[in-house]
Amino acid sequence: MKNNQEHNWNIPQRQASAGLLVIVYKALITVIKVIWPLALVVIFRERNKNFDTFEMLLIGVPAIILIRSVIDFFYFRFYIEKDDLIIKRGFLSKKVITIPLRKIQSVHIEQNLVHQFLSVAKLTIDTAGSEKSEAEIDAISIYKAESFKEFLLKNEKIAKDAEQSGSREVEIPLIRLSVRDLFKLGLSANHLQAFFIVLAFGVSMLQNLEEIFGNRVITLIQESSSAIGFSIASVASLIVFVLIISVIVSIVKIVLNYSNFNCSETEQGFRIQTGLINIRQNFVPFSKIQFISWQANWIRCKIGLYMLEFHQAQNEQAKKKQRIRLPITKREYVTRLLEPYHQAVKPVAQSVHGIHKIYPIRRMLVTGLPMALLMAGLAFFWIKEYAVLFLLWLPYAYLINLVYRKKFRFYVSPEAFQVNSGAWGKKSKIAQWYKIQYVELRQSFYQRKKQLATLIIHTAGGKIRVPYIQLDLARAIQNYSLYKIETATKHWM
Amino acid sequence: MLIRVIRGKIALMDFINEPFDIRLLPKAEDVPLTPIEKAYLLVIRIEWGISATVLLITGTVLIFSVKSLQHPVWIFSIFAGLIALAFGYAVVQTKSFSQKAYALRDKDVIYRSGWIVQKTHTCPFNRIQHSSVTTGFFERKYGLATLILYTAGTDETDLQIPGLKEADAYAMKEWITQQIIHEEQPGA
Repeated sequence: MKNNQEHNWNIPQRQASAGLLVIVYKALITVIKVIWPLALVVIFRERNKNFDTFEMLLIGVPAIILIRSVIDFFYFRFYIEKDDLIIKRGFLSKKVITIPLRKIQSVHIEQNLVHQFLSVAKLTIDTAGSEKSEAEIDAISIYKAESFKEFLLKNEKIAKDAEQSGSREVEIPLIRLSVRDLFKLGLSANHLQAFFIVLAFGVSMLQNLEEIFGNRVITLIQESSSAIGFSIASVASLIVFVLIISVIVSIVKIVLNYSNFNCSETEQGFRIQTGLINIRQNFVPFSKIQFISWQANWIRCKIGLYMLEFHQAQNEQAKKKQRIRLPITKREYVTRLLEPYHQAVKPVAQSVHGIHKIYPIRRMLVTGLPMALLMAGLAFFWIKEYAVLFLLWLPYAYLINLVYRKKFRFYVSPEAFQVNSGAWGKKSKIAQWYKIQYVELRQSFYQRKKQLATLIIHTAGGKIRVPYIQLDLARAIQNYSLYKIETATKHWM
Repeated sequence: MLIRVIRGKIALMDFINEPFDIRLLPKAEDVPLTPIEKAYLLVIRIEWGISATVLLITGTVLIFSVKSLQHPVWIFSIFAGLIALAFGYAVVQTKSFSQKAYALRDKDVIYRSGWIVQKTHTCPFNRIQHSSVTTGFFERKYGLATLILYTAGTDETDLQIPGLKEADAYAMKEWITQQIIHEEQPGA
C-alpha cells in the first residue's frame, strides 16, 4: 500500500489517465443505447451500394459523442481553493461547479467492472438541500479517491469538532451475508416488481422490433398465439413461466446488489460496502441520520428477514441512486444498528396511540370507491357484465385498511417516537424529536367535523404520516415536537 | 442512605430536572392567526380570469379545427365542462383564500391554508435554511408579496405565504433572518 503520500489538493488535477478508458467506455455505452435500433436497421435491410446519409449518421453521431467526451476529459480539472471544492469541465460549454466544503454531506466511491480492472473509481459528492449541483469525478485512481474522500470529510469534521481530528478510526464489523442469506433474500423478494421489469423489458423489445420490421413481427406473434389458442393449460404454463423468470430475475438482482455485503461501525458512522460487479461504498455518519426505518413483506415477516434503511439528509435525486438498504437476517442486528441513534421506542414507550376506528370505512369510500368504479367502468368495454367483479375491490380495500388500523401504533417516548404500520407486511420507523424539520396538520371536511386530524411529520430524510388521530392528540404531538425542536441544543445534522 | 442523599444533591446541582407537564406546553392552536391581505383575492381573480379565458379560447379553437367535434352535443358538453371547471376552480380558490392565515411566534411561524383539506404548517426558526420574498406581476400592482421559507424537509413545497403587504413581507423576512442567526449560535 502506497497510500500515505500526501496529495496537494490545491493544485488543479486531471482525472487518472487510465480513466480515459473509463470515459470512452461510458461514451460507448451511451452510444450503443441510443443507436442499436438504427444499427439493426442498417444490418437487416436490403444492401445499398452507395454510402447514404443513414450510415453517415450511424458513424458520425458516435464519433462526435466519443470525441466530445475525450476532449471533455482533457478539460476536466478539480481542486480545492480556500474552503471550496472547484470542478471545471467542458470545452464548448464551460462549467464551473463550486461546492463549499462544509456543505458536503457525503462522498461515495463506486467501481464498476472497468473501474476495478483499471484500479480507478468514480467519486460522487453529495451536498445538502435542494441544490442540484451534483458533483462527479468519473475516474480517479483508487488510492487518490480514498485519500480525497478522507480529506473532504476530515475537513468537515474539523469544522464541527476540532478535538477529534487526529484519532485513528476503529472499525467493528457488524453484518455479513452468507450464501444462504442471499438465497433467502432472493426467494423472498418482491417478485411482482421483478415481474413488471420483465414485462416492461418484453414490451420495449417488441416495440423496437416493430419499428424496425414493421407489422411482420406482430402478425407472426398473433398467428402463432392464435394457433396455440387460449386453453387453460397454455395460460397456466405461461403463468408458471413468468413466475420462474421473475424469481430468477429477483435472485439475480439480489446477488448483484448484495454479494460481498459488509457493514461495519466506526467512531463516526456506519460503513457499508456491497455489490458483485458494481461495488458501492457508502458511509453513513451518525449525525446525518434523520430517521431509521425497517420493513418486511409478508413472506419476509414469516422468516424474520428485514430491510433497514438510514434516511439521511440528501436531495431527492441523490437519494434514489445512493439508497442502500441493509438486509437484516437477525433481530439483534436491528437493536445494534439503532444503538447509536436511539433504542427502539416500543419497549420504553410512555404512551401508545392508534388510529380512529372510522379509518377503514373512510379509506374505502375516499380512495377505494373511485378506484373500483374507474376500473369497473374501463373494464366494461372489454368484458361487459363481468366488470362488476371489480367492485370486489371495495371489500378488499376495507379489509386491508381494517388490518392496517389494527396494526398501526404510534409510540411516544421523551426523546423519540416510533411508528409501526403495514397491512400485509410490517414497517417500523424511529425518529428523534429534534430531527424534525416542521410539522403539518391536515384536516378534510369530515375530519374537521369529527375532530380528527392527519399529522405529517417532515424531516430532512423524508416524512412520517400518522393518519386519523384525535385532533387533541395531534395537537399535543405537534406542540411537544415544537417544544423539543425549539429547545434542542444539538444540531439536527 | 447518606451516599444517596449526597448523590441526589450533586445531581441536583448538575441539572434541574423538574416534573414535566405536557399540558403546560405552549399551544400552537391557541395563537390567533392573521388573515392575509384582502387585495390578494383580486390578484387571484385576475389570474383566474386569464387562465379561464385561455381555456375558453383553447376550447373554441379545438372545436373550429376538429371537424368531428362540430356537433351541437359536443360543442355544448365541451363548453359546459370548461365553464363548470372554471367556476368550480373559482369557488375553491375563494374558499381557500379565506383559510389562508399566518402567525409569528417567538420561535416559529404558523401558516394555515386549504379549504377542502385544511393544512396547518408550523415551522421552527431554527430549522429554516433561508428565506426569500417574491412579487409576481399582478402582486406588484397591488403592493403585495410572497414570503418563501426554505427548510431541509424533503417536500418540494416549501412554506409559501402569499398575499402579504410588501413591506410586511420584507419585515418578516428580516425578523426571521435575525431569529435564525440568534438561534444558530448555541447549536453550532
